[in-house]
Amino acid sequence: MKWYKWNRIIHRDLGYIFFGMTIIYALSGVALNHIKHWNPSYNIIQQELNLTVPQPRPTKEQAVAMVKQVGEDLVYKKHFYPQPGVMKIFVEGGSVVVNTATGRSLLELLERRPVLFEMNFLHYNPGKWWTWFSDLFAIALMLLAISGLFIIKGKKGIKGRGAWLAGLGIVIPIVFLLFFR
Amino acid sequence: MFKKLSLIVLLSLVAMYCGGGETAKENVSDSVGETVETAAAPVAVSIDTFETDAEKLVDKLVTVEGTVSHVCRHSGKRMFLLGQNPDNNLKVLTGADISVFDVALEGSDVIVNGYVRESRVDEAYLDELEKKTLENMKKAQEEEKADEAAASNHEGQTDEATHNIEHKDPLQNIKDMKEELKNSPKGYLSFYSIECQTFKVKEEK
Repeated sequence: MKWYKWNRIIHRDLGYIFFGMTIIYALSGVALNHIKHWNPSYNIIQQELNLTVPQPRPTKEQAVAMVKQVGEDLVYKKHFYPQPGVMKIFVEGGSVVVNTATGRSLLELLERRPVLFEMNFLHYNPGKWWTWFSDLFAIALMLLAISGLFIIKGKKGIKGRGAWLAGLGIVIPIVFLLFFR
Repeated sequence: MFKKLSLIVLLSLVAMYCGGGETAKENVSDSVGETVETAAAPVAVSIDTFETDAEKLVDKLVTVEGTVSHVCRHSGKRMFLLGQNPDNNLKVLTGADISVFDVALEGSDVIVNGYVRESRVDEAYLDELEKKTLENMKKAQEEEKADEAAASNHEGQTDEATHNIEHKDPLQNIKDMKEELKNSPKGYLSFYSIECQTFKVKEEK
């Protein structure tokens, strides 16, 4: 079989196999790229409240009752005092930080972003076997990129317009390296 | 040709990764001075005495119990454990077989097995850190002015007391470390953490 037919077969079949991985890494990549502006894995809900704080220092039972003040469906886990005048109560799915003198409190609940949480988890490399599989994916992407150069023949292929576009794609990162490093 | 090439690549990857099965091991020297790994039982340590014991335990396998007080929100690669005395806390980092800690662990009692690691900080490092922190703060202030959406990330903080728990002034931290470094006989500061190999949540009785 001629090499360009093999080229097309490789490009097609690798494209099908790694379609899912490409979507996972691309979507989570965009999400993680903007990590300064948002939390890509969790939706963080914050609410300011005023609580009645038993003095001098709430016991465990009193802390449980304080959690019920915040919300009936919240489940108390543990509490501690990170510094004088501040109490942190852990609840299932979040925490409440309380100024014990004033009762001013901040409830913080974390919800996993559906689908995106799982994608980010995979992007962060959850284990040795996943590292192996994602290395395979990276090699496949290189093969897809190289084989893609030679899919189209003629003036719209690598000997014509394709050369310009591929060249542009190489020049852009070089420019970034020169100006922003 | 492509079939053979793919087969060679696949076999290479399998050989590379199947050769290094890691379990919790400790480095010891053999008779010719090269390090080999052998299985070792973890040493039980307490968070409350960790800072004083850690120097002798660097690169050793330990087991420790504590309450998870914080998991890094963005990467999930760090968590902090509290001792019996909440003034004592221990940093735990992800290891080879654990890539991320779930934020839902906060408030849970856990048992962690891992290796004690030491990070050394000297004056040159602190000077560089201070320079980068000042640059980042300047950049962040400029970005906040230009982007009001970024400023809204800081909404919801009640007051200084509650805000400061997880948002300590980084420049003050650096100043404190420089002061501590002046008094250090070693000429550097040591920060100890545990590189987690395995952990489990303690069942509530």
